[in-house]
Amino acid sequence: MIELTDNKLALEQLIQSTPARIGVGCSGTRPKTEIMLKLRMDHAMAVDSVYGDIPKAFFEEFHFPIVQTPCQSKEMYLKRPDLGRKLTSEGESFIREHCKKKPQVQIVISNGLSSKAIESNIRDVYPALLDSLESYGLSSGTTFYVQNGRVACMDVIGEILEPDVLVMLIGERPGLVSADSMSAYMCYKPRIGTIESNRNVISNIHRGGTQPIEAGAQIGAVLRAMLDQKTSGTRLVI
Amino acid sequence: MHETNEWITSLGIDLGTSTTKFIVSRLQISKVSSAFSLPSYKITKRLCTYKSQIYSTPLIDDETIDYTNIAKILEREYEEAGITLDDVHTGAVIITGETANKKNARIAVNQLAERAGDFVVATAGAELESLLAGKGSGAQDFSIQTPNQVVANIDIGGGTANTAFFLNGECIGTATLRIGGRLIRLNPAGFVKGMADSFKPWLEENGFLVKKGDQISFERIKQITDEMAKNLIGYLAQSSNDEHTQLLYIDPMPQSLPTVHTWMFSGGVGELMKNSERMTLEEGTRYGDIGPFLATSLNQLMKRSSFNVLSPKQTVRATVIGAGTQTTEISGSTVFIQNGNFPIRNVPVEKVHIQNEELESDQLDHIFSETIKKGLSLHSMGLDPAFALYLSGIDYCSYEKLKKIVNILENIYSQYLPNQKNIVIICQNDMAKALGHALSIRLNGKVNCLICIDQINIQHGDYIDIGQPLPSSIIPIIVKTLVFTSDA
Repeated sequence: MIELTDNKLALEQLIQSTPARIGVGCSGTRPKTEIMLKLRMDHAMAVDSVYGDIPKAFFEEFHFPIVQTPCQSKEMYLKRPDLGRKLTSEGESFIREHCKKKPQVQIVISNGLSSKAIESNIRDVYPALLDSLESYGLSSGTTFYVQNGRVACMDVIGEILEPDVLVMLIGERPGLVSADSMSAYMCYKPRIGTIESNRNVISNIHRGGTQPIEAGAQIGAVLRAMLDQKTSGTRLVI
Repeated sequence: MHETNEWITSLGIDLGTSTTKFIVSRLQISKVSSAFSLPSYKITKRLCTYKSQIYSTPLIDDETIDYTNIAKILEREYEEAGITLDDVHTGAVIITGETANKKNARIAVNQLAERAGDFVVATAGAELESLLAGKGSGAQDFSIQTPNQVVANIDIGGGTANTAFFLNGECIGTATLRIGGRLIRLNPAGFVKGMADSFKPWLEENGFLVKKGDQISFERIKQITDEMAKNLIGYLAQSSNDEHTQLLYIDPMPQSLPTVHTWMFSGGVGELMKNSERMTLEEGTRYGDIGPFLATSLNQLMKRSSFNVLSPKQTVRATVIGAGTQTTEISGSTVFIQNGNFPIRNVPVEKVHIQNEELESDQLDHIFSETIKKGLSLHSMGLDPAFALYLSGIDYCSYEKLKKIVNILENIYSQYLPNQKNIVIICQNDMAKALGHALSIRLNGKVNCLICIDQINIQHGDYIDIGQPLPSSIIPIIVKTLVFTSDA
């Protein structure tokens, strides 16, 4: 921490108020070695969670079917956002044949920009979400996993499965503070051409942010509101 | 998402040793979360919109509060303020100082609270009184403006001097002494009309041998109030604390006191301190008590000791404004409410403190059932809910831990409280909605009402009142610390 002779308390309060790297001090014009090492370690973790894959054990635990987007590599996923918004033709026919049509709620999971986010949070968010749906009297379709998906791939899925509402649990772009943060994007009747202002999101879901089980519980409440009001996005009153 | 900006009306009534006051305030509830996070609401403004005149507290005799006359005053004040019972969402009746020692204190304050509106609560207790006065006087706000300096607010009414210490907006301690303006009542000629029983030992120990009917001189009265001021300030400034001062204690007293930088005096005596000049015996006894003398003694002492004294924003109404504007909290962002006949009043809180290691082991069952058994032995069986469980200490609640807790809750409720129809759970962590869903599925209609709320500041032994939920599932909560010095 920087050395301050006056108003130490004010600095401590500022540091307490944010997980960001403030008040860490410097040596001359450069960061201190310890701070620099920590920064590089956090950056490495962020890179790992983008390029890393979800371990096999995860799918043995949850049995989610895996569907691909045309992005066959992480490089392509990062360079071609448009391809992350589609499914491969095999993927499309898989869900057409194996997933429940016209469900009230469709749950989709995707690694997005952080595999770590899915690995860390689904175990808590998903069962809490199922409880919440049951509690609100909602039924859900066949949950599946999209490898290298982007948020808007829900439009293609919506077009094929025609759910009333859809929630996509997707890994967020990692920051230097948290590499395992997940978002839940929700939309009433997503179809091709849906615009971003029609979606709702609960973001920053991880242990140190929005509490995963509470996020799961709240997703149910938002979906319930969408079904009641037959709308989503900026028009939705929560 | 639409912004919520809602106003609710909150009342405050203070039944003090010598005076009774009433205020109306408006509280603004706003959404403070971004569109991307879980919804979260806060009380963002607390405005006092109506203040009553100051009434003498109606008493039937030295021991009994005249409840009927207070109710009449209240009716008149409602009309004056232009509100009806239906307009009132929340509020608090606080019974303070010596009035809390009256025979019918508990009954009076509860009946009054019910009469004042559906969700007005009764509170008492020296600690709470000190805190509310310090918030109402403006001392708390002042301490935010003067970082790292302790501000003491001493609210001196008829029966007690309630001190609250604030540092950077936080109350870091309270202390109450039996010092007040009405502990001795006098007529204009200096004849003693009465004395508080609780004050007599101190008078005797100090060699002030006065009794009802005696005539005492101006100088003698001044000697008494000088000694009172010396005891009070000596104790608070930690310069002296003899065995005489201990006769003025209202338990429990704090272990240590902070060093005070700025002093504020509120309450009736605080008001008198604003302009206490030379006076005659007749002027000094104009309220039929020793209040003006005590104010003069305190002023002289503070000046002599060169203490830093500041005038508070509110003096005589500090406590009532604190009670009206500061007692209501709202529950955390995401809660679970299934049915419920609101308001639910006077729910005692039993705390279950869970260590993280215990969550991993089999001890959890034991901890919960011990708490339930203790709760059952403490609180009357007839109540439903008998008490609320307060879950604290969990550092991170995974779904696995949640499932464990739900299992145990189901077991203990069916084992120990099989006929309970209302369950109230308060969580320290942000987990109430998830817990509510999981538990309601498990209980599957076995109870009528299940309420899970979180992020409320609460202590073991507190009572809570749960108000009618507002739109957006905001629940007004009043946390009460009910302490009556004599139980009647």
